[in-house]
Amino acid sequence: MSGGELLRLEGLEKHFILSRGLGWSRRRLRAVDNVSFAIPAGQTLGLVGESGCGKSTLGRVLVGLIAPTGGRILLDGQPVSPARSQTERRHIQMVFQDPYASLDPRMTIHEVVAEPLRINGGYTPERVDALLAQVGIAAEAGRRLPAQFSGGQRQRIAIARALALDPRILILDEAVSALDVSIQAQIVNLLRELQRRIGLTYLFISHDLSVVRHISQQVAVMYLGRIVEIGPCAQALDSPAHPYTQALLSAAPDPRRRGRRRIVLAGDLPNPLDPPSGCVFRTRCFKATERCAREVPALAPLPDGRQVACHYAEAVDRTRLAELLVPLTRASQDAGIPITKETHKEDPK
Amino acid sequence: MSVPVLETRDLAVEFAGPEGPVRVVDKVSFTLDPGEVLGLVGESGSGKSVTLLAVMGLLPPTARIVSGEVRFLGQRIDTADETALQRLRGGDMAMIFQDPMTSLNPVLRIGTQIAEAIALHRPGLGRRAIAARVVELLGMVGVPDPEARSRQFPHEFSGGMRQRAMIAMAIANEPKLLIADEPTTALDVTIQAQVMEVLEEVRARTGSSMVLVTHDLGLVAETAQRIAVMYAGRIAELAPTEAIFERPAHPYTIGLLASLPSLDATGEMLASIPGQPPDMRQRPPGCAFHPRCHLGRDRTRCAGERPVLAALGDGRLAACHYAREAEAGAATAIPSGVGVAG
Repeated sequence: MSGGELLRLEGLEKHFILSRGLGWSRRRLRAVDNVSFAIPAGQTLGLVGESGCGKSTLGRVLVGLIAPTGGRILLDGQPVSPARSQTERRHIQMVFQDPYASLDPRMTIHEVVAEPLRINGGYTPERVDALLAQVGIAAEAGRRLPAQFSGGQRQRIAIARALALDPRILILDEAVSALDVSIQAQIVNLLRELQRRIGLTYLFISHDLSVVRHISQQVAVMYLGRIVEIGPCAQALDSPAHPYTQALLSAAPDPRRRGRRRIVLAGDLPNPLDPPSGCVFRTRCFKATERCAREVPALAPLPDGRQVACHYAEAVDRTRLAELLVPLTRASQDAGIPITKETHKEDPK
Repeated sequence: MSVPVLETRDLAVEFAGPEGPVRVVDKVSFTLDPGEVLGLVGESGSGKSVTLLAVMGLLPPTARIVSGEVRFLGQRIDTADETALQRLRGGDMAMIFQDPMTSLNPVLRIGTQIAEAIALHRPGLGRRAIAARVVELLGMVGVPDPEARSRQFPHEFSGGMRQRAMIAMAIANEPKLLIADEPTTALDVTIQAQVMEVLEEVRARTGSSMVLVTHDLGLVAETAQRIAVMYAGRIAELAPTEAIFERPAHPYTIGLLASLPSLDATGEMLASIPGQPPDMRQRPPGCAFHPRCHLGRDRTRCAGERPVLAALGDGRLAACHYAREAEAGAATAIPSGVGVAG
């Protein structure tokens, strides 16, 4: 099923030009900056990063909701034209985060799923029933309104709608993030089952590394519009090499790994309108040196093949991230910044 | 044993609905010892937030406590009048809400808002002393340059900084009880880690007890000494943190843990709990979880008789007729790697 690559991005960028209130000065916000990757047919690439890193903008550019300001998108080796043809649109569909906002409250769910078919031709009631059945919703439920469904069921309906035009790629933008754990597991399983059955290709945008690990073969980590690490999950998530990936993995609470020490990054995300010189991550990085302020690190391959944008990239096994803290503790004490802590302390009093 | 900081006994809360009252919290009992952190976990609509609003006397007008009692340091507070509660709230009992953007006043400076919290409870304190205390508090929660930042407005603070300001406000009067309702849910993981660290640090310093309400099992695992798991308005299981993760005894807890995606277990399908949480207007009879339960689905006892929260030993409590059987089966249901520190 997994054949050649289906989707390729080459140097994709989306810059927003913001004019300020006074004067003529204009500022450039690099929401997506020189992003390149490829997804093989039938596989999943997980795109992770925190709010404001540009992951959703990237998803919107791919689905054609906003136009890129540079770079190319190739579908099956063919460049996608900026003004997309109907087939190009059909091939890439999207599922959004909030199932309460993405379904028209006044349309029956049958109509919700039928709408793309009516617009593109090919509507039959049976087709809609089959689409609903595919996501585990009974055809009789089609007469009801979205308000009568729970969050998890609404997300199933949104998936049925996205599948209506037989897309080859689904962009899943935080598609399970708003759901409770037990329901989230149901939807993740549904997505995996659909992928196996129809051979769909996914771009799975999420901030949750554990969910990404479950559903993806590859993962890309974004920070301030750029990819800082990309590679197979078994490399990038099991032995992360970029300090940001290391910090993300270390900070994520996980009941299965209680009592470990974790890396806590200092400070906030920098203002994207005024990014730091050199490496954009250096202001929060525990490895940063002078060199990081001068030179922008290029996304370069490590011996194992995964790519990392860091001058001091070094793969560290996920279970041994705490060992990074030993030299750190001293450095951070000098700077007066609390970086480490023993979690799950004994009761103090 | 000392007097618990907080104790609820058979607490029940009902909301007025068009078809009669809806019970959203049903006979919830727990205690919180001095210096202890109790995690209150559950999915949306499980009643965890309403339980705490009832404790704080902050229920909306459409809801009321229909039975049970709440004691703070041994004193009944569910029957206390509003004046007494106002003296308590922000003083000995403080709350940290989920969304610092909506719980801070956007037109008042951060420092002014914290000062207000202090002045309300310590009327004798002079302006200078209050201002100094505000700067001290902001410094304590890791706000850089606290003097200048105390003169800024909430919109000039990032999400993480706002939550720090909220924590500063909550600890202003050295409360004996902190109630944190999803304090980091709106924040990114790296910021969440910072805020939890600050919260734990100031809590340890002031010696407060804390109830941490969250849907995130990972978060409570690292902070709480005991965890109460809620389902459909009731406590399904209450046990020390280690026991919840290593020897869960309620099928719902077992299902929740199994459906958590992990960085370690990959490739296979996630275990999931079939069905949806019940509509509170039509709570299933007997055990509210039985229609979704792999043990109780076909057993008449589960459909007919409501299980009480019963002791299993070692401080573990579970509301399940077949807790022993569930516990024995759990070993195979949850992916390996549980409880191993990395």
